[in-house]
Amino acid sequence: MSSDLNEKQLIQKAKMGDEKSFESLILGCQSKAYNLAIRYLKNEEDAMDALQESFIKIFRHLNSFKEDSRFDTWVYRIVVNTCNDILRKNSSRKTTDSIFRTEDDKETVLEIPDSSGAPEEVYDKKEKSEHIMSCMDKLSQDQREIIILRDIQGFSYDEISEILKCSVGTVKSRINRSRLKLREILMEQNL
Amino acid sequence: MECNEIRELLSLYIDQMLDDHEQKEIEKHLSACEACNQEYQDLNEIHLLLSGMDPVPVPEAFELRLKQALQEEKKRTSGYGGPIKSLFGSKRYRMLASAAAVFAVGVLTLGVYQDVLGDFADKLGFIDRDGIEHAAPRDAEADLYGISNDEAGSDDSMNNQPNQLEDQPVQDQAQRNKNSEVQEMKLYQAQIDSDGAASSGQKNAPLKKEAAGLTAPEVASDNGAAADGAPSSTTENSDSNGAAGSAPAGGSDTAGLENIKEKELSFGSLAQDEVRAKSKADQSGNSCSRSLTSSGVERNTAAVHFYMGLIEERLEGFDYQVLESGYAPTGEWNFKIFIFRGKDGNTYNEEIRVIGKDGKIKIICSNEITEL
Repeated sequence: MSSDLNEKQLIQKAKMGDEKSFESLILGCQSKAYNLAIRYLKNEEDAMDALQESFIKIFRHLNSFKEDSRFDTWVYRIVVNTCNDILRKNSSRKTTDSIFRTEDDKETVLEIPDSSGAPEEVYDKKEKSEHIMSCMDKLSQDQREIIILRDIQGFSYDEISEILKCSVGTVKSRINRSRLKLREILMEQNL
Repeated sequence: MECNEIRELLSLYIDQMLDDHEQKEIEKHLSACEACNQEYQDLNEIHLLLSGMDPVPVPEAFELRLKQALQEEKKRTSGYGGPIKSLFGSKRYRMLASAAAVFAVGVLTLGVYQDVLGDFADKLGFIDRDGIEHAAPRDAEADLYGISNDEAGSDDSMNNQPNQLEDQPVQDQAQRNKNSEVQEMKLYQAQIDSDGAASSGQKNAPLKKEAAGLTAPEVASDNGAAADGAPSSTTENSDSNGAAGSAPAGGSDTAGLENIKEKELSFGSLAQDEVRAKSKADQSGNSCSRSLTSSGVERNTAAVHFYMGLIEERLEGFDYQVLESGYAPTGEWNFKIFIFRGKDGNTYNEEIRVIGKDGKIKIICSNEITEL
C-alpha cells in the first residue's frame, strides 16, 4: 500500500518534470525491462538503445499515463513495442547481429549466467537453455514473444494481456500453442 | 477427458491456472496416458529451463547514457531550441506559414491592383483625408434628408468639376499635397453648396430618384449598410452609368446627374485620381467615362463587402481564410475560401468556393464539411 502511494507520488512529481522522481520510478522496472529487451533483440547494444528510447518515450508521454493502470506494465508495454519496431527495421536490413556472436567463423553463445546447482548440473542446464533459446528463433515472432514474456520473464497471464493489449483467453491459447510448437522444434532438432 | 482436450490444457496445468477439479482430471489422465505424460514432462522441462535462467545485469554504462539522454530531452522540450524546433516541425506551423503566404499574396495583389486603378485604398475609405472625408457620408446624409436634389438640379455643377480639376496643378497632385487637396475639396464643396442654393427646385422629384439610385450602393459600400440592396442597386447603377456614358456630356438631366455623381466621387477620391480621370476625359472628350471608372471601383467594393458579410455570417465559428475573390461576366462573385477547421473542431484543410449572386451566396465544396 505504502509503495503504491510512494509510486503515485513519484508519478505526480515526474509529471511535473522532476527528473529524480522519474529516475526512481524507472529504476524499479529497469532490470526487467532490460532483460525483456535483450531477449527480444539478442544484442546488448540494441537492448540498451531500445531501453533508452523507451524511457525517453515514457518521460515524454508521462502525462498521458492513466494512473488507474499499473506503471510497470505500461513501461513493459512501451519496451515491447519499441523492441518490435527495432526488429521490424532490422528485418529489412537482414542483420546477422544476434545472441550468437560471430568470431572466426564460429558462432558462440552469449553467456547466460546461471548460478544454481552443482557445476555439472549447471553446465547441463545452461547447454539445454541455450539450445532452447536457439530453437526459439524458429518460432514466429508472436510465439517467441509470448514465450519470452511468460517463461523467461515470468509475467502472469493478466500482465501479458495488459502488455500485449489482448484478452487473457488469447494469451492462454497463444502460450499453449507456442510451447507445443517449441517442443516440436526441439524434437526435430534432437532427431 | 480426451487426449486432445488434455493437450489444450497442459500449459494451464503447468502454470497452475486450472481449478482443483480440472487439475485432478488432468493428473488422473497423465498417470494413465504415456504419450500425454511425456508431452507434459517435455513442456514442463522447457518452462523450468527458461524460467530458471538468471537475469542479465544492466550494463553500467546505461545509467550514464540514460541521464544524458534525459537531460537532452529536457533541454529539447523546455530549452531554447526545443519549442522552436517543435513549432517548425509541427502541422500548425505549416498551416500558419501557408496562411501567411496567402496573406502576403493578397497584399501584393492589392498593391498591383492599386497601381492599375489608382489609389484604390483611398477610394475605399474616405476616412484618412479631412477634405474627402465628408464626400460619401455627405451623399448618404443628402440622400436621407433629400438635400441632394438641389445639388443634382444644378446645371452649373456639370462644368464645375472639370474646371476645378484643371485648376489643380499636376505637380501638386503627383506629390499628393494633402493641404492643397483639402483646400480644393472645400472650395469645391462650397461651390456645390452655393450652386445648390441658387438652383430652383423644379427637378427635385425625378432627380432625387436617380440620385438615390446612384449614391446608394456607394454609401452601402463604405458604410457597410444596405446589405440586401447592394448587389441589385449596383446593377441598376451600372445600367444607369452605361446610359450616361454614351450620352453627350451636359444638356440632359441624366447627364447632369452623371456629372454630379462624378463630382461626388471625386470628393471621395484623391487628387491623383482626378488627374487621371481628367486626362482620360480630355482624351475622349467625354467626362462621363471618369465616372464609370470610379463608380466601377466603388461598386466592386460594395459587392465584395456585402458578400463578405454574408460569408462571415455563414462561416461563423469556422477557422478559414479567404484566398481570392473575383467577378465573372455572368454577374457572379466568386470567392475561394480555405477552411482550416470546422465548427466541430475537426481539421478539414479544404478549399471551398462561394458564389455570390442576387444578394445570396451559394457554397460549393467537394467534400462534406459538417455544419456547412
